[in-house]
Amino acid sequence: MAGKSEDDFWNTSSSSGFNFDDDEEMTEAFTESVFNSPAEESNVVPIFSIISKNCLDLVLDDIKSVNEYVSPPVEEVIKKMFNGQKYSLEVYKRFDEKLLLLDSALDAMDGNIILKVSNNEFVILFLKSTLKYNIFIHQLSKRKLAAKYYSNYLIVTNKLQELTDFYMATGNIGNMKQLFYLIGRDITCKETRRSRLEQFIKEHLPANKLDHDDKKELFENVHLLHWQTIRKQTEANSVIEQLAVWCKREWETKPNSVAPLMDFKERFKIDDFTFEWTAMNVMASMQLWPQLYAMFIKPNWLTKKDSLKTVMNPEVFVYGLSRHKPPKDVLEVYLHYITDSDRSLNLALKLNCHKFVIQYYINQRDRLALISYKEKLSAQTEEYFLVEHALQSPDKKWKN
Amino acid sequence: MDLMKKLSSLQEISKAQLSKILCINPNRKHLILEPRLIRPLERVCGVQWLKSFGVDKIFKLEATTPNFATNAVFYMIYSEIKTFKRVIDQIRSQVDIENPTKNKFHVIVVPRAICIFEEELEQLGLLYTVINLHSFQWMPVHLDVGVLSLELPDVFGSLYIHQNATNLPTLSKILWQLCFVVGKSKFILALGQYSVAILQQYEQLCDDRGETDKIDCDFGAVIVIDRNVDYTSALLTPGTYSALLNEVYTCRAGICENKEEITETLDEKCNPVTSKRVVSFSLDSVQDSVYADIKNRYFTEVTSVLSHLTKQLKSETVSSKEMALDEIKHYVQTKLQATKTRKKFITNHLLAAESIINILGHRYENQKHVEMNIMKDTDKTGSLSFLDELLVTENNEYVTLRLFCLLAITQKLSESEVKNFWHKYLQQFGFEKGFGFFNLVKAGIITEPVQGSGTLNLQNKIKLPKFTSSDFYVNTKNLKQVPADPDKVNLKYPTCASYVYGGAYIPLITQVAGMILNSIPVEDIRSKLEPLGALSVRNDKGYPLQTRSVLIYVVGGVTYAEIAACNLLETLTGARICILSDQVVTGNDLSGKK
Repeated sequence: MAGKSEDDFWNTSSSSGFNFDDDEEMTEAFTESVFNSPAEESNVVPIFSIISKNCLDLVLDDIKSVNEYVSPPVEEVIKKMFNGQKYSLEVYKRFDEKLLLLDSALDAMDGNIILKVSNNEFVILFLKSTLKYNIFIHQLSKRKLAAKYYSNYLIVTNKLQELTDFYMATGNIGNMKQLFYLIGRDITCKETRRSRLEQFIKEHLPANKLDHDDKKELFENVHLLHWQTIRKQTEANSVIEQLAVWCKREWETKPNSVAPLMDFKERFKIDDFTFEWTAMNVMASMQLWPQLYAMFIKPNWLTKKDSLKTVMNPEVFVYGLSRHKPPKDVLEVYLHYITDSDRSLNLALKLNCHKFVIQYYINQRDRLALISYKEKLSAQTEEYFLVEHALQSPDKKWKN
Repeated sequence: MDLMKKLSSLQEISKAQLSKILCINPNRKHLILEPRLIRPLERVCGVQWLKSFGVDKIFKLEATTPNFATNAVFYMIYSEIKTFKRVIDQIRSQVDIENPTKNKFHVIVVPRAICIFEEELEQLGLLYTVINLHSFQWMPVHLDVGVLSLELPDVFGSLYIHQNATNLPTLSKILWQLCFVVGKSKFILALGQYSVAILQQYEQLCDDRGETDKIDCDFGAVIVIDRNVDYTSALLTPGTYSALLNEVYTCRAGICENKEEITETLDEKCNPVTSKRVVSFSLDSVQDSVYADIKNRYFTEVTSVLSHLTKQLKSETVSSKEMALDEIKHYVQTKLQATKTRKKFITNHLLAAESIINILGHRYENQKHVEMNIMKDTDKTGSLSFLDELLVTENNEYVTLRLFCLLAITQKLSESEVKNFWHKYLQQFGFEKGFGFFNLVKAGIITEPVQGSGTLNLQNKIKLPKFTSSDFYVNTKNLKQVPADPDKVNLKYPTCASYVYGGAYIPLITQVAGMILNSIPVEDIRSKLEPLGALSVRNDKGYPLQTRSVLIYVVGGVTYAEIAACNLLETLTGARICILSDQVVTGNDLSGKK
């Protein structure tokens, strides 16, 4: 009964067989995340084989929660304050103790004590609360690192006014520009940001000896915000982004309009390369091929040879254009302006601009290349016929 | 015991540390994690282990607060004030500060709860009574063979840009704790201001708190080095597969993933957008044999290896169709699962390679050419015009800034060149980025511009320590980091570590490790390295090395290219090199911080 035992083999199994369906891992049903355990357990050895118990204790001892101070009872300190003796409020960090402190002070009916308690500012640098402000500043300005920590603390906790005062007091003029950016950082409404920044400039700039370029930068920033708020186009976050948005808007209704955009370019001193690239991009994304032609091709009536009118390297231009996947005819027009014919051929091959390649091989009288290229073309297409026609034409003198 | 086994088992210690914190409240608990912590925590302890400590549910930190019922609640976050404030707000909405439940809310801060947090809690009346603060830093995660990462996100920014040393004690403590497992090395070299400080703190810890009781050390030498001593390795565009993966996908905790493809076709300036393919896999050469093969290969080789493997797989499938019945039985029992897994690996890598080609392909050749010129100190004008072109055509603030930084630290840019570039940069990406200028100065990339009072202030405002030279080319020549003929470097079967950058440059850590492994006299090493920054050497009769293994600790992030270069050095010298850092980064991560 060999056949039966074979069937048995297939029908029974001591272990679960392979599941030919895709076995996706079941993920734990956690609220949102897929949280797995580390994959390999075979590589992991028990903890005491890699570290001794003493050393492990040392490591664990290091786990600390934030420690509580032990503080003296509240009545004692109130009594001390009342009697004009020395005291320390700093040890009172727990909230309930502070409340108790306040209540006890109120009970004592002494206005002075209440003020001290409610004004107790805990600061990172203990010095600040125990020294006069100008002495504190003086000491800090002598210690650059300490000043840095302090200004970082003010930045992190967003105490910008104090930071301004601090910079002014320490004569830190270079950092004023930093403040300019910090102030604008969190304000999302462009109008508010502009007014805040203008206010800042008015208050601080005359006093500062910021150099010419810095001032230029600040003014440009405000200028852009101003331009945006007037025209109610506040989404863009940079000059070039605004240019792109502006181009798009203009060309949606008036595709041939160029003057307002040139105006923007002049106003913000945008360089030619950036301007032309952006314009090309927007036009290509909107498929404004005639306008693209008008902007970038300069006709030459004398020699009948048009040229590409751009500061961009023609290859860069073609690359930029090709990303938008334009019609092959459009692309081929611009391919012609690449002076190095090898490079233009390479590009054409990469971009599948068949007609360009075919024309190239015809011009080179390279029959073999044409024949091998024909393989790549699909039959019954325009390009295919072009090749056929050229190959069959009797008056062509082929090289090979 | 095998060193790799030890490194893979380090997490047992982390678990012991974490359990001590979690056991403060023995009741059932909920755990709420900041999203960035999920991947590292998976490598540290995993879900099952957490559940065994009474964790009922794990949530992501989000806008809405889940219902906690009577469970204790443990939040775990990185030490950033913004996240902390969100957590506090969530907790406050649930408590009455005058009548709080004891021991219910806990916040675990990775790596350390800073005093600003205490202050915030104190001012809001929450300290000790409502919220308990804990600090926790796991042991280094063994991401891949010999690659250890702390998965700390902002060490570079805080140390090198904000010059805030709050994280420094954590970094030195990790070294101290690691020595309990691997023993104390007899030869330690520290290069760079923060590395020297870490070494000092580490020795302080050994004196005050105790040392390892292991007699031998797994590492013959330990090298601690600052990121800013060799920015170039991070700024150059790498050529190896793992490094390029990180460039395109930003891998964290050794995992490469992209959850969804972007649907927009145009960016904000009407440039077409290339999307990355959706992938999710682990960069683990033990599990993934295909990755182990291709991770350090130069990318042009990778595509041919992958197609070869695909063909192999196809032929296997074909032959399996012609098998006899008992052959099929055998195949199903033994090879099918392995083939399926292999197929999955190959698919992942093919998708990833496709993304790399789509996103980097068009500019790779040109960029490599420019970077090669920079390394050879030629054609600065060409490089500058390429930079301008890149700024506009690539429309990527990190990539552009990165090339700018490279130019600034190597060929040095004049003030007007810097100002020119910066003006265009702000126009392109927005004036809000203006802040970055100061960060660049702080990081030492550009010099502080002279205030326009007309005085001839030719010295840089940054004070250089004595004997250091900021001349990149002098230093690299001394250390032989730039091959004389980059085109001759063999990329397929490399023998020179510069292959990771296409033959342009050898990473500094590889050269230092090489010198030590080749037993170059300590005095010679000293004289070569001193121009680069503060240098400190501890030699306790440990040189020349008795154990031919080195631990390199890069403070501020290490790149996969550097790891690949060190792997090649391992093969060439027969030594073992392990690399530890706070995170595996790319140049984009660094320029993003600026």
